[in-house]
Amino acid sequence: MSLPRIMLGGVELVLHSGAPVETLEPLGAGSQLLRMSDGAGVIQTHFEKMAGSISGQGWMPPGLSGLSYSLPMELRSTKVESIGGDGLVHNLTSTPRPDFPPWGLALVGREWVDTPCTVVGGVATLVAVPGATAYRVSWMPVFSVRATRPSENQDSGGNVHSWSLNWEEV
Amino acid sequence: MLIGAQPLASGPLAVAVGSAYEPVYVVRGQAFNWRLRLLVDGVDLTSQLTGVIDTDREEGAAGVGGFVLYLPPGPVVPDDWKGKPVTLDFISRNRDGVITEKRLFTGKIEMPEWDATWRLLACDCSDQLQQKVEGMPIETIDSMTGGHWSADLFEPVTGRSRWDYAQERMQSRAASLDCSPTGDVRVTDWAAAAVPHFVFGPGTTLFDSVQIDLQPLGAATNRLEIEAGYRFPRLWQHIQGFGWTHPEYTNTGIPGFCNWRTYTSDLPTTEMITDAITGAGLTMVGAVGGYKLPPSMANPCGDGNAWTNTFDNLWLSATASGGRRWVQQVTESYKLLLTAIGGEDEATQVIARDSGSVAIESSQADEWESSKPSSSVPDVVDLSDEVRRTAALLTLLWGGAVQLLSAHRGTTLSWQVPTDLALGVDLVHTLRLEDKALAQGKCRRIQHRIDIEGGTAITTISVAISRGGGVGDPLTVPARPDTSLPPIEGGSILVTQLGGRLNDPITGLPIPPYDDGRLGFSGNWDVKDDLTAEDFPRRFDVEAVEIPEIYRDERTGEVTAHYRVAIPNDLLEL
Repeated sequence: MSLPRIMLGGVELVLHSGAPVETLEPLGAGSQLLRMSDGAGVIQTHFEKMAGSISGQGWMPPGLSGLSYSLPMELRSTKVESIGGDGLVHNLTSTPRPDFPPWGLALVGREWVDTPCTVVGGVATLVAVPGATAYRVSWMPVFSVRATRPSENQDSGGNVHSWSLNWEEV
Repeated sequence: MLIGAQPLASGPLAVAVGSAYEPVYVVRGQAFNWRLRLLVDGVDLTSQLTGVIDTDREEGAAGVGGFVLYLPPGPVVPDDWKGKPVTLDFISRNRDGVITEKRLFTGKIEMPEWDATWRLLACDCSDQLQQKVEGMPIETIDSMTGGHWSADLFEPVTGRSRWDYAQERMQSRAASLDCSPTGDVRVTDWAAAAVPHFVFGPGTTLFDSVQIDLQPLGAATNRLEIEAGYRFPRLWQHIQGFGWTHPEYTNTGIPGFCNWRTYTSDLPTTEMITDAITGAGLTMVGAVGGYKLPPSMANPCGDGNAWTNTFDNLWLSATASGGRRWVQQVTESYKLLLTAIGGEDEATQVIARDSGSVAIESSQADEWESSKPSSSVPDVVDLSDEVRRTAALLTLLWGGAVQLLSAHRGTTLSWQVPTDLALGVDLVHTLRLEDKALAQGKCRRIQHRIDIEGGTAITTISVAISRGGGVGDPLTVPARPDTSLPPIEGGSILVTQLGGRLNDPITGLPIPPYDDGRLGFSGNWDVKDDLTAEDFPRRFDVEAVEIPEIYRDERTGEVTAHYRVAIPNDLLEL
């Protein structure tokens, strides 16, 4: 299976627009560390959401101008998220892409080897591998996002189209 | 250290006031996840909340709250949102997964505001304290608020705002009337409990959030001078009796008549007597009594001479009473002095003044002077109303004491905590702070500020600190001043002067000249001894005794009383 591409609002980003650079970070809202009188911190959380950006530099514009940026869109990211640990069962923190199932890895000696992974209701279960010292489940997430219209840059001298967009999970 | 070792909700957060309780030591914890539940008219609209939600509940005032809703596209009639019931719950989950859920606010949307651009409906809510009290029967307000009240100091309840009435009753209570987070109207004493309901220990307040607002001296009234007046009508009645007997009526009945018959003379008629009494400014009380000249008889005196008389209104001996009624105003003035500590020393006193008066008005007093005197009523009737006097004085005394108590609890200590730590704290509770200050007082105000975007829920808690001390006297109604007067003496025996002769037929002595100024009866002997003898006018005169001015003018009495008011001393060390 070839690696999937980024899809925003159903539009696939082609390599001719450049190899994308993706960032994934928590949204700076919904949670605070409150400082108490003795300096101790108390974490107060109402929600946790993600944000990120996608940028690229290629021969063509990204082709995302036709999307409705006033509405939430589905972002199928290729930024790999993963959870590592000793166990075989892990709660996925976001929804994996439906067109690319999560995959499991096991560390045997110094090598990571594939191990079958099944996901039911956001819980991934790996198959134990003899001699494995660590496991890891990885996936490419899907978010419902509010994306900004890409800011684009065209350098006609070198025929370079640069573009970037930011998104926030709705 | 055992931070977070005890789940937040394991202590009795909802402390029942009045029952035995152990203080709840607020545990700081390390992390809390929170969410809200907003029900508008029973519909969960939590997911449409945006921005900042705040609530502010303060003792003695209606609680208010505000939030902003995003309304999805579709027709919106902001007016329809007005009056919709609102409840706001806070659900807190600590790191151990223990969930605590508390009501923050119950009320109604008072005023929606529509932002057409962003489709945001901003709702201002109120807990409807005023409307709830307005809807109560008077008896419920009475039993709920307690306190003292007087229709003379305020105005009769009928047709007036019951909210005003409740406020008036609360003026004599060292307590506050407000709504609980669930919207129940209740009254809470200001006095802080000896055992706190919640203890905020070291490290439980937010950094840099402990604040103290000290009360300025000028607001700390410690001497209250009340001047109260109590005015009522005193109904006076004075009945004066008059007695007259003909000098020859030396015996009673027929023997007396026979004596008079020897030398007959003029006698007064009933009309003469009653006219004399009314002419003296008096009103006849009862009828004229005594012994009348008997009617015709064959041989009344046993001497064989028949007696002929066709008049039935001639008196040999008469008694009659004339009465007067008048109203005297009595004014009792009460100078009541209430002092808190320092109020008796001129150097430290901060004075305030108050006044009140009770005036008893009665239609009986208005009609008294024109009504007919009667011997069956007492001479003095005070139209005093002890119930009204007591009510008014108690209202003033308690109102004054509350004024002093209130003036000494102006200091407010406040601090902020994550709302997760303040769940269950209500205005009825006594809170103790042991962080950056050592203080214990009754909760005065609770403000929640919940920022959805920032993920923070901060509660500002304020407690009232009362400082004073001293000892207190019982607030008993002072005794009435003595305004009584001795009874009016009066009554007169009337004399007789008979003329028409030079010499008295019985004694033979010369008859002195007619004296116009002499009261009583004046007339003539029937048989003249000389034609030149002066005929006296036939008349009957009486004179009413003079009522001294002290019985008519306003009568005043004064009472002074001093009460000391003890001010609770709440713990406050900074």
